[in-house]
Amino acid sequence: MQSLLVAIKASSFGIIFFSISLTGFTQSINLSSDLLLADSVSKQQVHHHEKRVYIFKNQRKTLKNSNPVSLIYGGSLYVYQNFVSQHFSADCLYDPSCSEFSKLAVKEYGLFKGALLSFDRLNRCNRIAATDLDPGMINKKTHRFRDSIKRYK
Amino acid sequence: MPNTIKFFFSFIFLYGIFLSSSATDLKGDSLYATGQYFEASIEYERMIFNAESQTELYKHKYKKALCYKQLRNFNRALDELQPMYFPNAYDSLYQHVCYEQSLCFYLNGEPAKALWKIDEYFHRSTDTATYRLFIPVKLLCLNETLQWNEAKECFIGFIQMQNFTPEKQAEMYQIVYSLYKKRNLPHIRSTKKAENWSRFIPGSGQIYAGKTGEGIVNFLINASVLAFSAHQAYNGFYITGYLAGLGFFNKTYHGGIKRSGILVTQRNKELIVNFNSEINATIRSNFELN
Repeated sequence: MQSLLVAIKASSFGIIFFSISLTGFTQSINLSSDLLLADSVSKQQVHHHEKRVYIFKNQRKTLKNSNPVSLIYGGSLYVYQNFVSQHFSADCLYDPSCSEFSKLAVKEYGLFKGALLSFDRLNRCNRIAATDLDPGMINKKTHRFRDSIKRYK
Repeated sequence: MPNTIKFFFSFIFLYGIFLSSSATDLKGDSLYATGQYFEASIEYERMIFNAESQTELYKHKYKKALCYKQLRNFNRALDELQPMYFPNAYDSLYQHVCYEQSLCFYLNGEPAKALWKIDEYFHRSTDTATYRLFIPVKLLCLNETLQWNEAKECFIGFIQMQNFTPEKQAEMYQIVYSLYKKRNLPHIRSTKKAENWSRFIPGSGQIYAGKTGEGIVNFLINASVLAFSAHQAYNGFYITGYLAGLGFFNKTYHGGIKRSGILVTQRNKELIVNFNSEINATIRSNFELN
């Protein structure tokens, strides 16, 4: 009987110590995993210039994407985005940039409405138009005004 | 025997109270442990709202910051950690908060602020046994801010803090001296120099940054735009030459200068990240970290 009581006492102390250990910082510092995190995050921070893809890439050939106007538009946009735009000092006001907006708009709404939206966007991408923009629309990461194509549905 | 019964009664009573008070903590912790960091952050937010004491509030805020760190939202993690103030520098939570703040600053691309936070901790807390935890982050930050000599000394100090055998210590010293030899350090290029090169000869800044092809393209674009402008002016089309030609040249010329600076910054960043990655791997493979 006495030995049983001792065993119960010991086990209850064990339970107490176990529970107390749970109340501490269960997320204690793990330097090794933090260093791994630091390594992967800093590798992500290195900017690799990613080539922006051709607008009709991986799409089945149709009249809509293989007519001469679409081909000229897609080709010139590809050349502009990958080889020309980086040499200009101009910075676009918006996020996505005008060329990316045009690409997405043509993809989403077709060549006609896409072209009209692109012209409209280019007309709005200047210092005078910037004075009329809502500061609440600024994307904190890119420091540009959010102007998604979904707004023009 | 009556003592034993008393003991069990008091145990049941206290354990019941303890379980009910820590049940809320356990839910957030279990979510965190299962990798549901977003859900855990919401749970901790609820606990912050219900916190009755400052200690409890700080503890939950700290845990919420850890969730944001795991979600790689370092800005929000810092927003949680920054407002905490500890009058007692020997508070165990103070050490945890300082460490996480410095790490989040580093991960957020602000190594100077991380160094400032670490220095603040070293200044306030005289418990040198806890410094060991901060050294790897400090080392990475010193490398990032190009303070090579300080980084080397810091690394040597870190080795001395370990319980290495003399042979192992000598081997580690050798590794450190080799890493920080002048020829093994990242060859950092000057942004100003690149911009000035581009200002003098368009495209040369890009070549200095290591992008020869881009430099040649930039030079050709600038030269052709300038030639177009001159050609128009020569033929008497002064307005076209000035507005179309020189206006466009202004864009490409200044764009080239800006681009060369960006390229050098990117290249320097890449070199430092590779160097820090090597240091990081050395620490992880050779040091007892936990």
